Amino acid sequence: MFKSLARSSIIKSSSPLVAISKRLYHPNVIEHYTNPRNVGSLDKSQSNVGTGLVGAPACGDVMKLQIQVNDNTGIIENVKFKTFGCGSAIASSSYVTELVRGKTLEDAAKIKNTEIAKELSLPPVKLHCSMLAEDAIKAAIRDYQSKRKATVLK
Amino acid sequence: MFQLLRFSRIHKRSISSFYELFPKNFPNGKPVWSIDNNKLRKEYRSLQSKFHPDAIASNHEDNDNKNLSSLINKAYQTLKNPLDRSQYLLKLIKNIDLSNEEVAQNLTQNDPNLLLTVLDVHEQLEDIDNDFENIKEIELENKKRIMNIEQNLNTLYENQDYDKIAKLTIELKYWVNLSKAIKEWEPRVKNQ
Repeated sequence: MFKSLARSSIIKSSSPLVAISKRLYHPNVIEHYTNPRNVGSLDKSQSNVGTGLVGAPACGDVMKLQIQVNDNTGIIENVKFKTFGCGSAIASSSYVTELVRGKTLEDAAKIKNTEIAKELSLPPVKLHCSMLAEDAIKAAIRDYQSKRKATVLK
Repeated sequence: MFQLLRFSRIHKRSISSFYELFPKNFPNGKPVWSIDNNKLRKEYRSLQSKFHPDAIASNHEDNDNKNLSSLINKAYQTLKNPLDRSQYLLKLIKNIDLSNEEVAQNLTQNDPNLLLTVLDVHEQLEDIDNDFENIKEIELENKKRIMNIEQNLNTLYENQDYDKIAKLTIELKYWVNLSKAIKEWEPRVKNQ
């Protein structure tokens, strides 16, 4: 869905709508929203892929974040996301994928929502979008770890 | 004229819920779930014909009327829409504020099945290039889902089961968002 939105904002970059949204959103949010990083899906049936699926029930937004982990080094080698929600939620998840790529699981688990909110200058009413992104990466790590435990025990 | 003024003053001072603004629909002013949309629209229009600033040529109480007119408008938009009405009732009756993420999160606990279904339909929608038949199918399915929830809410409100009402209202929000996404869908241009 946001693909088409992103496309239309690029094409009609001089439209009044974008002019308005530019006033409401920080440039970093606009940048991630119009040019989101690492959009897509990984094969969730793979044993080295962890999937985090979280929702913001008050807004009705959903966010899926997936990590592909090197089983030997514990480093996140690939990461993809899909977010259906507002611009801040999309930007938060896009930014968090940039943050975790190349990190160890341990370091990725330390990411705090405040870091995301600061980078994107999210206003107080949008802070929960950054919390959603933090929840998503944590859920993805948990999913990977529970899968790994299951395979090791076999 | 005096009557109009009195009306606006009374309501500005003492209104305790949106329901009181529509005395023909809600004679005792009590908040209820079941409403008659046609009847409500009728009363709304007749009120706006009295209070809308455009309807009154010159009036010293222009601002009073403007405020009342926009209040009536806000009340009508909230009450006619099932999602907004349910959110409003939960806040009014049980002080449950579903617009607060923490409150809503505690109620749903990230229900994985619901999230999976929501994500799945959003992804289906995203994968459609320009097949209008498929869009219609998704749209119809979603309308059915929403109608179903609204019917369930009828029973739950009769039984005053507010915990379940809150959960179902949250679910309704996800599907209403989906219907917005369906409306915004546009065929993908080739070579992109």
